[in-house]
Amino acid sequence: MNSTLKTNLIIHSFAIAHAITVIFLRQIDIADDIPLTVLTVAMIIAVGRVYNFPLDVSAALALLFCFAGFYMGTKGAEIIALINNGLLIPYANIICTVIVTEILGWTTALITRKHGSKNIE
Amino acid sequence: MALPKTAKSTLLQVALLISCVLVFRIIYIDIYLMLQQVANFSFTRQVAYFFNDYLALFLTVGCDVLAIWLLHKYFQYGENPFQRIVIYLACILVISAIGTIIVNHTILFGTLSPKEDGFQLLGSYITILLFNTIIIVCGDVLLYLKKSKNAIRIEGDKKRKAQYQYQQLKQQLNPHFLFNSLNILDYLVQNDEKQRASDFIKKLASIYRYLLYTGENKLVYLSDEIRFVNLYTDLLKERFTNGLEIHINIPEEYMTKQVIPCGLQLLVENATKHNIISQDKPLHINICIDEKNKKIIVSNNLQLRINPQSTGIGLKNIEKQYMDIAKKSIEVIPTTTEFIVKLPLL
Repeated sequence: MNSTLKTNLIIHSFAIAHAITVIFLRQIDIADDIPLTVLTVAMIIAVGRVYNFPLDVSAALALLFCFAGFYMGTKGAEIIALINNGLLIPYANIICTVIVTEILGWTTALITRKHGSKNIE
Repeated sequence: MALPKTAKSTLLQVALLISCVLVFRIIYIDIYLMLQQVANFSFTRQVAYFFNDYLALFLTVGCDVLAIWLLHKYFQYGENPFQRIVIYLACILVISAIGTIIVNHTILFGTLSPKEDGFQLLGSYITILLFNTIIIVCGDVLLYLKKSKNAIRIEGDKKRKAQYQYQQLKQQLNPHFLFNSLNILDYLVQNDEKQRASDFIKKLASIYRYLLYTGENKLVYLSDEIRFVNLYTDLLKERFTNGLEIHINIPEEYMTKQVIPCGLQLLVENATKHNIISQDKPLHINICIDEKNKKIIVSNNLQLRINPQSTGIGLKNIEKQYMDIAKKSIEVIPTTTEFIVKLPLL
């Protein structure tokens, strides 16, 4: 399996996992921020591993992206909730978490794919 | 199925790193949300306070830059990720504390109530914390990207050099060349042409000596390369007699210019390899100088063999060598009657 395919698979799987987590935890009324953060960090490290990016730099990126994810997630959900007179409110968090995960995943892939040590080897 | 030791260690490191990031993130977001609920915390207002305090801003940025530099210098990327990320977070926490103390120095010695003081300090602290996190993470990632870019370039250069040296090595041990040379030598010995045989052996030895001694050099003087080409063509002339004519016309002042080792010889060899050489259709190879563009020209009349087997690897290697050494490219000009290659003089 080549690196691009692996990256695609990881990012989309994690986006789906985020959506499932949001749906599931909403139903049992538990806060979803911690599981979502764990998934985001795991996704960033997994994408970094595909291109042999050092773990510490991946973790640093994860740290930054967690804040970015939190901000984009909360603001994004507010924006989505405004669309179509609030028609999307029940799905705002799910849509937003999928979009944010994809954005963070592809940003990580963009940074790691060109500079990971796989290129050096 | 038991996991290998390295996989276990990597998993452990990943788990530790995720925990670190998670704890940091949870504490941060929880404090942020708590402050919003109980103290009407405004992030924008705190940022404005911080940015208006030039001393705190510059000192914090200065400390961030110093931390990035120290991390970059004393902690190799990927060597001990957990240790590095802990130091990373410690730097962020400490620098943020320094920034907070400077921004809030009036509050610390002021008259506000302890509760208000606490919320104000905490709000200020998490604002500066986010600022430092962004600066340190971005700085460190950028430094890593720069370092890896350099490493990729150096590795690429090494790879190309190794490839070229491999080609040169193959050239040195080219069995066809040696086989043909030994055949000619055998012919000379059989015909009792002692002097010619002796000269031939000396030239052959000189060729191998040149290959041996210039193999490590990146560049050689044109005079040395021309001497080498002369030796090489002398041997070829023993084989092709009147079928091969080589004209070298290089003014003396260009002899101190430099070229890559074996570049000219490779072009002569290519010409003899791909073209018909016979007394009826002699191959003319000209080596001269393009004085306007400061290049050496190797051209030959085109009389291609019916089934030439060319991969173009020789020309590609010369091109890569020139790009690596001088960032200059070679010119290859195939016409209907001639094949011309121009190599830069360095």
